[in-house]
Amino acid sequence: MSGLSGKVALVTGAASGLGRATALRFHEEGATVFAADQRPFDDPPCTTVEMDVRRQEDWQRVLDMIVAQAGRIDVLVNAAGIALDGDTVATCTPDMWKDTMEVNLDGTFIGCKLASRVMAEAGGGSIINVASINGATGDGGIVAEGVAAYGASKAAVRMLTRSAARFLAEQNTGVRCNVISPGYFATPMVLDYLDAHEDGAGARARIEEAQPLGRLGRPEEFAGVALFLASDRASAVTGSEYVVDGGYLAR
Amino acid sequence: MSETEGQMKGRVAIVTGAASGIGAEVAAQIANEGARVVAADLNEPANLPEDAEFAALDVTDPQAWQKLVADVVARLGRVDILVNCAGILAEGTLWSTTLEDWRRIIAINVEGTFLGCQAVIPHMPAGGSIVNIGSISAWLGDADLLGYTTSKAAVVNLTREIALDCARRGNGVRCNSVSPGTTGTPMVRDFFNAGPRATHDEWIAAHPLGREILPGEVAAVIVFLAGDDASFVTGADYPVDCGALA
Repeated sequence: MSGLSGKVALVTGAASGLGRATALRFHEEGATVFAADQRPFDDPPCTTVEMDVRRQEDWQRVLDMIVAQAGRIDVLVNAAGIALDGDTVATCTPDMWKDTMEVNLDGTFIGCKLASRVMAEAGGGSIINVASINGATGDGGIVAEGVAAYGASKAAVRMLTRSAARFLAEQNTGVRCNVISPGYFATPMVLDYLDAHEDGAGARARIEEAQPLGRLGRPEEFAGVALFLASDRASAVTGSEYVVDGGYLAR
Repeated sequence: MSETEGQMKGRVAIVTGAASGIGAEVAAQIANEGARVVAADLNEPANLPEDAEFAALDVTDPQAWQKLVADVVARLGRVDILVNCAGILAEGTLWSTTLEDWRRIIAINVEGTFLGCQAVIPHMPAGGSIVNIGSISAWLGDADLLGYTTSKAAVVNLTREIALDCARRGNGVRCNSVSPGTTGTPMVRDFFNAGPRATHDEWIAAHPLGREILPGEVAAVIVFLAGDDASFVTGADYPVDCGALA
């Protein structure tokens, strides 16, 4: 019932971190998974796809290919995302701002727009966007010096989700659209940042302190929430934000 | 047999308000996952799920909670899951709500949840999970639902407090809430049968999917939060509302 057998899923940002864990879990649950990333990568259980989520023509090509190969698409997880160093309002350059917005927000918008059409034609589906606790609160110096562009892009993803969900419901498409807001997880994005940090151990300790469960999340723990939202068990869930943060935002 | 069946084998769950509506569905779904379910309510329902046992409980009575938990722990050894579904819904404005009305709704919806958590947490092993019932009304004002909206907002923040308290103790217990929209339960049916100012159609119109939520759909989110796939989720509120809060 909570499984995904017979379903076809596309996961972006699937080469690493939350996207990778999600693609693998969906595969385990019986879905046919297309795992997309901007660079070539190897993930034997899934069909890997190279795409740049910023480019509408890439989305079109990948969706056409999935429909041609698998006949349909039931689930989209927009996990592709970037966080750049030096993201304070003072130091974020216009180029950094543009890159962050294009990948995190424009990519999610194009994916929602194009995939929901394909899903609607087949009678429904589930879109899962990925925001962040930093889409709801500033980092406050816990880890990064700032989340100016990153936080703004993720806050926008939260609201894009609500608007898309309302539209897709009102059009009777059968397509649900929700957003997961993760806290700090043990992903390459976070771990590489800590490795490069002048006080990586201190920054890690601050994360563990800030997340009441006292640790980084494991990517599989994100995938469990994505699985639920992707499945038919979440049939009444749309336009919602599901936070998975070890209690970070509860404080 | 569903693919998830059996994931809660060996666990013990207490579900309040289990005689009807969301609570009855939660008891059935958790039992279906293999857990031993103690279905608590004021009166025994006609159809108790298989593998569930009934326990009479007034959630506002602290001694009744202590007695129930002591009995369950003595016989079954532990409580892994607590779902506080007992709750009431009543119309009332700032002026029409009597102090008696106010105390009743706060006692059942808020104190009942508080007492349940307080009684059960000391007996929960690591991996324990509590799910409380908020509402979309916790997040929206409604001039006709003064006591109800206030009580549900209190449940959502009580949930955060309990999550933080458990995290600080490091006891491995998580605590979350769900916020259902208008659900097809006897509670909602009775509310509209009493002739309130609002109509059922008006309530449904506030849900973009244009329909009532099924009790089983709310139970599915609760069962997810109670289970291991939600192991990094604590202090959160998960709406299940056909888009009402979007």
